[in-house]
Amino acid sequence: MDQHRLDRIRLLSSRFQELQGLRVAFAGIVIVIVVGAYLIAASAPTNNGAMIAVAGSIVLMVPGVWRLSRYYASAFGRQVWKPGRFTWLFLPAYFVVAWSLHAAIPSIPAGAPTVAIIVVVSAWVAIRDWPWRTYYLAAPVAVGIAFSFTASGGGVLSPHLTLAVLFLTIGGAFVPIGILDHMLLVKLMNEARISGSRPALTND
Amino acid sequence: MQTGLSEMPTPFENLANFNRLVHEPARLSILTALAACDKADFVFLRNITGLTKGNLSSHLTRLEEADLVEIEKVFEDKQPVTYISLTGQGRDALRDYWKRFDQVRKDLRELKPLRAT
Repeated sequence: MDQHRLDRIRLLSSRFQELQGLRVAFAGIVIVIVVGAYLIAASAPTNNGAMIAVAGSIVLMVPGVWRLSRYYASAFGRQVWKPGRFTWLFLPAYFVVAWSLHAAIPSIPAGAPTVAIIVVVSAWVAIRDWPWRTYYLAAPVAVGIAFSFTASGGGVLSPHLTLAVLFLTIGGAFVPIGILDHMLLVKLMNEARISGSRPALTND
Repeated sequence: MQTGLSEMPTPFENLANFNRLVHEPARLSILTALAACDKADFVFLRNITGLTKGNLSSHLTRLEEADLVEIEKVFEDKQPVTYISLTGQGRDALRDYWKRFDQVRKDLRELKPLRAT
């Protein structure tokens, strides 16, 4: 058995949930639509308003993500993922870090720690699954562009729009990333089907 | 006199001592897939390994007989689903297999060709 085939099986099995990218793409589309609609509809958009819009978009995502999960189960099968020993610590750790940052530096925008975490996690995914998922670097790049745009804009962008622009950028980045994850899943599953029909994988 | 060195298995002896049940490519791919998750259903394993239904079924039977995997039949959304998971013994067998495999690879790298005198 060749190394590539084993690597592919390992990646598919350990990242099957993550590679169900249409769910991420759908979430990105919903964020873009809801935050975009908020920006158009609100007479004076604020950072808090953008946060509420994102929270609202999560409610709208749920039924679509559920339908897409069913599609993946019927198309590729079901798999129960085993979370890591310390995975449950992620959310409390995030709240502690975000709260500490806001307490120490009150001028930090409300969503900045969230954005920073998205950047770090995306970069980590790209490195962890190198070279399969290098496109995850798009999220840090998108956030970097958004930051440089707001920082160098010299008043072009109102500070009240910072979060809305960041959420739009992140939501926009989710769409190609999700589609690319889905395409990688389909490609690897097709490769598995083709390689499985070779004589090496027959009955003993 | 026997030295400690002469008692060490050669890479080829190590190779011959591989667990044949695990070493077979189809079964190795099944075990590798199961090692990366808690449990997976029959359809997922068929897709990921590219095996036919019959082949996968017969390999799973052999693995279950050897107590390396556990097969569980349940109903989800009124549909029958067959879940397969690795047993503790299966996990140990796979870990031991890769340990031996890495050792053989390392030993083979260290082998030097004999020089004719």
